Amino acid sequence: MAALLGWALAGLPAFGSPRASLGILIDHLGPSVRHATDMVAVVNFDARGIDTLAEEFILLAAATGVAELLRRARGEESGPAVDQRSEFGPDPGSEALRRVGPALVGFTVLLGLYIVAHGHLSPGGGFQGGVVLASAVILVYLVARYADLRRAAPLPAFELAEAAGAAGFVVVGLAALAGGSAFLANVLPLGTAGQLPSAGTIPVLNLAVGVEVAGGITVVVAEFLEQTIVLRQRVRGRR
Amino acid sequence: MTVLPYAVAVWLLLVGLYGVVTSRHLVHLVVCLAVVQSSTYVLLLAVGYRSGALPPVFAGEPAHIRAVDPVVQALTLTDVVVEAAVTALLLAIVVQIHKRFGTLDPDRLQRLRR
Amino acid sequence: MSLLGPLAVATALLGAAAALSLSVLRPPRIVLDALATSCAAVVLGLTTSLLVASGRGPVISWFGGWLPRRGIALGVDFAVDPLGAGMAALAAALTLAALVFIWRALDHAHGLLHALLLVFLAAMVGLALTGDLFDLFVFFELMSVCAYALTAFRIEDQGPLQGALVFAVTNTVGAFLVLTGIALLYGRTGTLNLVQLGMTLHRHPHPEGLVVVAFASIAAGLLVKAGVAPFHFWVADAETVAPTPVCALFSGVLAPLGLYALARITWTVFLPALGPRASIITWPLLAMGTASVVIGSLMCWWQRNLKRQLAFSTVAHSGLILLGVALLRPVGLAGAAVYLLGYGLIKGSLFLSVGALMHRFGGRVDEDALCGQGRGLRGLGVLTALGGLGLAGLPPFAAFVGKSMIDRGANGPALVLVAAAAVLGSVVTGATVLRVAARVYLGLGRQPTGAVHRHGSRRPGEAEPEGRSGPVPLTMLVPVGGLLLAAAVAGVAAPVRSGAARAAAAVAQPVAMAQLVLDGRPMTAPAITVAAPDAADWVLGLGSAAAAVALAGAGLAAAAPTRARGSRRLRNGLRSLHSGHPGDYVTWIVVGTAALGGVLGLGLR
Repeated sequence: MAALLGWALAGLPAFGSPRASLGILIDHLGPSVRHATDMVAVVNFDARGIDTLAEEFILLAAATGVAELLRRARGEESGPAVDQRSEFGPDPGSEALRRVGPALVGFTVLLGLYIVAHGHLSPGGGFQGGVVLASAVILVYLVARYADLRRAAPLPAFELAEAAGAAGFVVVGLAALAGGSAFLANVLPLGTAGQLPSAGTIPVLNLAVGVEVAGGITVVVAEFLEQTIVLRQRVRGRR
Repeated sequence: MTVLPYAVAVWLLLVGLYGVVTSRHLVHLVVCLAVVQSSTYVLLLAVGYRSGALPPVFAGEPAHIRAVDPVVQALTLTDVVVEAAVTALLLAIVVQIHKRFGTLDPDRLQRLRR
Repeated sequence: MSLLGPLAVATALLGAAAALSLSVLRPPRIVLDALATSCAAVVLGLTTSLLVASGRGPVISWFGGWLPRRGIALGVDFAVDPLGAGMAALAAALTLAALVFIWRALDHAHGLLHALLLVFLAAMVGLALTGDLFDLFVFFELMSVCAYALTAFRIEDQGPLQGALVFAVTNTVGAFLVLTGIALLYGRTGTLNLVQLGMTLHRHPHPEGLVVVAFASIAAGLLVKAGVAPFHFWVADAETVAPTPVCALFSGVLAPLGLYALARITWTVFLPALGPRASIITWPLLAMGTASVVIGSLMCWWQRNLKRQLAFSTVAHSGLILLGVALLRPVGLAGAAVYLLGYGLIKGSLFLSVGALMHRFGGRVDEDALCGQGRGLRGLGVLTALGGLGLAGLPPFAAFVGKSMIDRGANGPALVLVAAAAVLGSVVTGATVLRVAARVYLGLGRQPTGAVHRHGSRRPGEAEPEGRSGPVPLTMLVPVGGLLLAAAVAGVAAPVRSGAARAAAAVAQPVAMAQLVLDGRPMTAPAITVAAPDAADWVLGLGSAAAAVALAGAGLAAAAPTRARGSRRLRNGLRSLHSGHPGDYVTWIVVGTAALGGVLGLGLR
């Protein structure tokens, strides 16, 4: 197997000087055609937007599958199994965590939103920002009790967010159709490169993806968390 | 050495596959699968690199600057998301298996089946 | 520029998102069923229109309005010909049938199941229509993730987890193999568009090592999905345990789509790249196809679990379709396409009928346990028997027509191999279905012992499953019968044959396709006429069907499972190979890929 791969790799152009015409073209055309400054975003949300659409649905499907799997195993399909009065959270022993944590949550949310919003201008975008947003939610769990988390951020809200984000992407694509151009065409005003409102639909799609990813990842992590807590409850209940 | 990135990709691939095949713990198996997927990221990014080029982010610079291929970066981004999704799903399945069968060793699981 | 393709995908995705959002509110089941079913019906309508439109010439849509500049593709396109549109329509038809089927079954399903099925549909349609290699991969992965999630759906049983795990691990390995191949190709050519890849490689074919390894890698990954030996081991485990309507989709569309993708990539990218050396592909693929047919048929016959039987017949028939593709002739490709259509519909129907049985008898799938139980269900029995005969190649089902076309694509030793394998596979798998039908619905054959009859294949300690009384619900019978009817119609309708032939001829003209896609120059498809099945084919078809009946009868008559020592060793040996251990399966994948690459490499010398 290694030999085969070595043989294949020998057929590639030398490292550092790709023959990649597609990439070069995008680099040349991107700024003028789309008034964006981050070419990767142009590729992801414009030229190859359909790939990104499918990709966010992969996340949606996986999150759905995870939710389905872990919930059914707990024997319930509606509502949480975790006692709302439960005291479960991590060991509240770390003083540093308790002091700094809540402040970090706010900062993390802000960072996430920034990354999502500036996807077309600098490295980042909906996926990366969405994960950061989700980690803000997880941070809440780390510094507080799980019950607080459930109260502050009910799970159905995140599922809804996830679905809404995914749907949003499709709707933007369809809206382009309504305007007479192709599916997922960039039909909003392009603005000036380098400014926040520019590059047409790219920031809008970034936003949709950010919402979807934040929702999806939160659902996944929350389901795993809930599974762990239920197991811990059972163990403690047995003693 | 200009062959190094490709060698790394091949190495990751083979090591990961070996891990999947010989694994005795399902979580370890899932992580090895992730290693295998990482090899494709390395390969993709290596393919798109241009010596002495800048990242494909042109903050106010003219467009004829040499930049790295953005397409492979976009492809890698897509793959990372796919991999994360699959890993999450696999781990959920593994959690369930542990709950049902009480073991995470693929060899013992096989004996339990028939 | 046509909007039908993108609209079909978008509709399914939107429907899925809607179903998911709705499920948060916990609406009554009927709302979800109505939403999902109507969505699938719309997609079916769109894909069928696309099928008709593509009959006049390939339909191209560029996403985002990124048209090619100076002959270089910038964006992602849907390049739809009748083959692709046909696959998409097949996917929509089977999904619709499955969705109707679950109106009564799977009572505990909420919006999640409907959403997953609709995303699944979107992925299958996208895969069938796309003209871009990476886009194909993304839809392929989307399809896979939905499949893994759907397989793990019914987790009360012990089975599903094992099947889902093995499924997910092996197919992920397969997917990364495809991705490795894509990375290699992009590094070499700088493009991801299928026709452009073909043209670029055609102009700069050296060094060939990369092309061959990329092909081996991609082919191996796709063949994992298709369930072709030695990559097939996951099929039995996964299809045995996934919810039955989902299995109908796996067997009828998922696996075939793997073969479809392989065919499209081979023709569009690798044949122009390899040029006159392309024939080195044929014999390795023929070998794998034959191995699948043999292994699949034997294992199918030896099974007692109804779903596992059908799972192994998937392996066998995938091998058969691969034979048609491997011949590298347009006629063979067209034949494979027609066969695929007929087979997909019949297989879907058979799985759904098993599902109806399970619904009626509380989840029992063991042939022995169900013996004689189906006596009151005449209609279902007749449909099942028809399905079995259709598998065996009875005219006028589309499978029969497809097989005749495949035969026409081969000559010499290849013809003997192909024809023999085709007959073997279809007869044995058809006979298995007939044997089962006779035992379940007529109570013929060996009567099981009392203990087995009472407990079936349940392990001690499991609860008694719930059965239902009364006739099979109409919502189950209609999809079963409808799919069979469609298979028969597809076989009879001449446009199916000629459309497939024309599409295959177009695929075999990569230069013209490239000009159409990249420069917008309309192409004139050459006319290749494929004659209707002739007398020899009819004899073969009827003969196969008769042989299947005879074999089934022999199977019934066997008083006890006494077999010669040699065959028992073979049987145990094969059985132990299908161990359920993910590590074993992945080993086979690696070995198979390396072998394929090695053989191709040697063939280049």
